[in-house]
Amino acid sequence: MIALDRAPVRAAVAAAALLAGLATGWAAAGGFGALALLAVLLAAGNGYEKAYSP
Amino acid sequence: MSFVLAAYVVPACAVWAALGLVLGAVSALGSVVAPVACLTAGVYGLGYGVVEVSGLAWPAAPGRRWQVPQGFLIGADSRRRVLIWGAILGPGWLTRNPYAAFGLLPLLVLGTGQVVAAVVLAALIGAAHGSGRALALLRDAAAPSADPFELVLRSIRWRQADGVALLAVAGAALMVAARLPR
Repeated sequence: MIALDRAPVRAAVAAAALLAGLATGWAAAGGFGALALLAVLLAAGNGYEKAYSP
Repeated sequence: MSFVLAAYVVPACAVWAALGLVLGAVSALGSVVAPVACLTAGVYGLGYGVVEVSGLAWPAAPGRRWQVPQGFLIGADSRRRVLIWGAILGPGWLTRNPYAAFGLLPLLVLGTGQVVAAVVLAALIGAAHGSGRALALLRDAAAPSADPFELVLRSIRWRQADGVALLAVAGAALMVAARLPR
């Protein structure tokens, strides 16, 4: 079992991720650059993780 | 390795750049399109992020159920098979999408508000998605798993990780939507 298998840990990680995203968006001050970078990282992760779908 | 990578990345870049051109043109139609797209991306990311992190089965990630037909591959040599898989799987649009993050990507392209920016971002997204798929394939080919249930277990954990990533991007998208100049 890894830490993310426990629901409270998952909830805490999810809340932290949301807050980190909000902070990133706030720091971008209306610019799209940070969101564009996140989109590229999300695409890379999505492509990679699809190898692990039955 | 470079052949497999190119077989996935080149079509992915081309397809996504073409999509970026269309979405960029739509995005440039009015100043309200980009903020609405970012807002929609935020709501989508929040919804599916919660679903994936909490392990709910419903709603399933949007996407198709189509898989590469065997007839495309039977009788083809290995290079041709890689080219077929790369052209179909690299861009990511034609086959099954088990993770919801993929559906967020076109919304973010629409959120750019400019044609050139949309094409560049979409091409980068295509390159990232295609290379992610190719690198995972190469990694699995180098070290196949002996445990048949490992794939299922990993898919569950990747779905949770996808949800966490969705929540982070959703937060950023919501904040950008609120602060974009109109």
